[in-house]
Amino acid sequence: MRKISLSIVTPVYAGKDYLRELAAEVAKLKSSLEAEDAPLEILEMVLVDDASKDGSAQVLEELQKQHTWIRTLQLAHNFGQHPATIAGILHTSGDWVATLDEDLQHHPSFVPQLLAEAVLNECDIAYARPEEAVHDSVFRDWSSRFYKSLLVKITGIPFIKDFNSFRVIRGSVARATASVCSHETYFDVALTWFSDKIRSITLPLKDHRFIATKKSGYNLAKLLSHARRLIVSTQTKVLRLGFIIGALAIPMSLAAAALAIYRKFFDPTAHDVPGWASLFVAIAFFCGVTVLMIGMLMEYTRTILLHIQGKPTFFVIDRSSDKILADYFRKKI
Amino acid sequence: MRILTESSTRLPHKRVVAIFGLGLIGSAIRDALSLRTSFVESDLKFSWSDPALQGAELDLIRTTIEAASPQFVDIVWSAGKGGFYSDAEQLDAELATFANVLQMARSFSRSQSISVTFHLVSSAGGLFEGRQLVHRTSAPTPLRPYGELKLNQERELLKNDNSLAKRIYRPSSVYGYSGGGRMGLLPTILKFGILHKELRIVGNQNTLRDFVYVKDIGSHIANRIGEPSSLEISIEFLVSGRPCSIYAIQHIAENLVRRKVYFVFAPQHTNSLDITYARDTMPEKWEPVDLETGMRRLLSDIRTIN
Repeated sequence: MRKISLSIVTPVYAGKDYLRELAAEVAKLKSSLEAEDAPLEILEMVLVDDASKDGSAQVLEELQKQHTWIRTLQLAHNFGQHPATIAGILHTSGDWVATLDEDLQHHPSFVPQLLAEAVLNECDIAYARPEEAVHDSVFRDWSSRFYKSLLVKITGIPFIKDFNSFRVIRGSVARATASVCSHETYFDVALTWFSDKIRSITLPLKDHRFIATKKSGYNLAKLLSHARRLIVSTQTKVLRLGFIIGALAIPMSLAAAALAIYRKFFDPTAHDVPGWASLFVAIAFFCGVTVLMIGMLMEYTRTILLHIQGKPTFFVIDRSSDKILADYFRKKI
Repeated sequence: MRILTESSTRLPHKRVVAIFGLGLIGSAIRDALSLRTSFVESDLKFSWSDPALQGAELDLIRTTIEAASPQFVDIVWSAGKGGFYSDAEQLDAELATFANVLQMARSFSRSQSISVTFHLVSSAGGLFEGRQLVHRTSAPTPLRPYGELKLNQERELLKNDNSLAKRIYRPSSVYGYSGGGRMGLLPTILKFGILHKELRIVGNQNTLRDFVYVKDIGSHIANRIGEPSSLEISIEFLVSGRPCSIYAIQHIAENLVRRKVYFVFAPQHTNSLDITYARDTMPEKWEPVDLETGMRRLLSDIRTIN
């Protein structure tokens, strides 16, 4: 029987205290799948050392020696969580890729649930949605929710509210997305270019590290940078808005000019100042033209931006092997 | 085939390298060797397709090597007259030729007080076709005659005898450009991109392969040739450890040539199988360039040679 392979990717920055337990949990899941002869196998776990400074690198080396299925990558300097995740994904070869954090906030035992959600609904991506506030910090949790809701409205991408670093992605989609991401591209936004078959399930996720230490791998500057990249990756709809405003400005200016001319000849008392009408007509017309031109430039910028960011013209997906997993998960349910 | 004889008269330990097969990989080995040491090169005739002539030609090759009075002789087999799609009959002839060369190397070492090393360039793709995440200890399972040939060549070399040091290299999908011969996938994509030509890919855009730049291969094998000989047997996977889809390559290529590459995919199951390798397969001192850099260098090669 053909087995569907799963690669697990974890970026590591300050995970020294968690990595051994994380590897043990993945090993437990791997063994349990093997013991029940499931059609799913954990092919590899790719741990990406994002220039950690807490001695994680030594632990990673030790884990790689202990387990043949653990592979480690060292990044040249601290690039951040998304680039580290992208680097990890680009080194996977599994049919599915699961990404999870280093600190067991995303427990590996939930990965089959996420995968089941994806294959049973013929989807390509499944996110974990925390069933309650993750950080036990009113400000952190509220600001995160508020920002995501705002972006859903601005961009029209409904999936933004589900974005989470705990996800399973079809391998081909994950690798294609990772291959087009530049340093300014938000990975999850780029995922929506390749597939809109996205689901999410509620899971008990808690950021125990943040709750215990009140310290996060993300400081305010990093969170703002994160937010900025999310906007940069999705702002193309805003750029189109510029063109629409420009296109509307021309007829509006022509209408205003017509009104000014009409009043000049049929209601000369409306404007006492000589030359007002001609000046207004000239300003209205050329402002309309200027706004339209700026709008066109923004439309060109949008096209170039999407091209640079690697938005595909099309992408082919083969979901034929999902049946094997779907049958397995249906039996388990 | 080509014989490279170290030219410096001050050398206490003279080395002669005989390269069978000056295709993409053979030429890269020759180029890398020339950068390291000064060699006198001579081409000798070798009839790849006529086994009847090979005996006499191999005698001449052996005589030529002996005349140089070397202390070290390295025989490099980097020939691949039959490609991935060759049939069993064509490949049988290649295996017979390989056996003849190997026999020459063995008889040669028995008759001389010199150290002989046989370097066989095998094929990871042929041996492990359709396998996900091959490890160092994975056993080969070829799916087509080409893979069988490579496996038989390895077995033939590894037969129990102590007359030779044996080094086997298993490169994954090798890319490079020499201006002639068969063009691989990557130079073809770049070249078709430059020429605005439509490119038909037999496979699908999500097929995963592992790509290595030919100059890295040449450089690594040249380094191994320069190392002190011992009678050890080594099998080295020359892979990048980073699986890459055709889609990702298309994206890199389009960025490099700064235009769209027109792809047409012709799905074919046998050519759509993934072949990927774990990083633990990679030998020490093997440092392949990343794919983006390699493709940049490849594009430069294409532009320079054309």
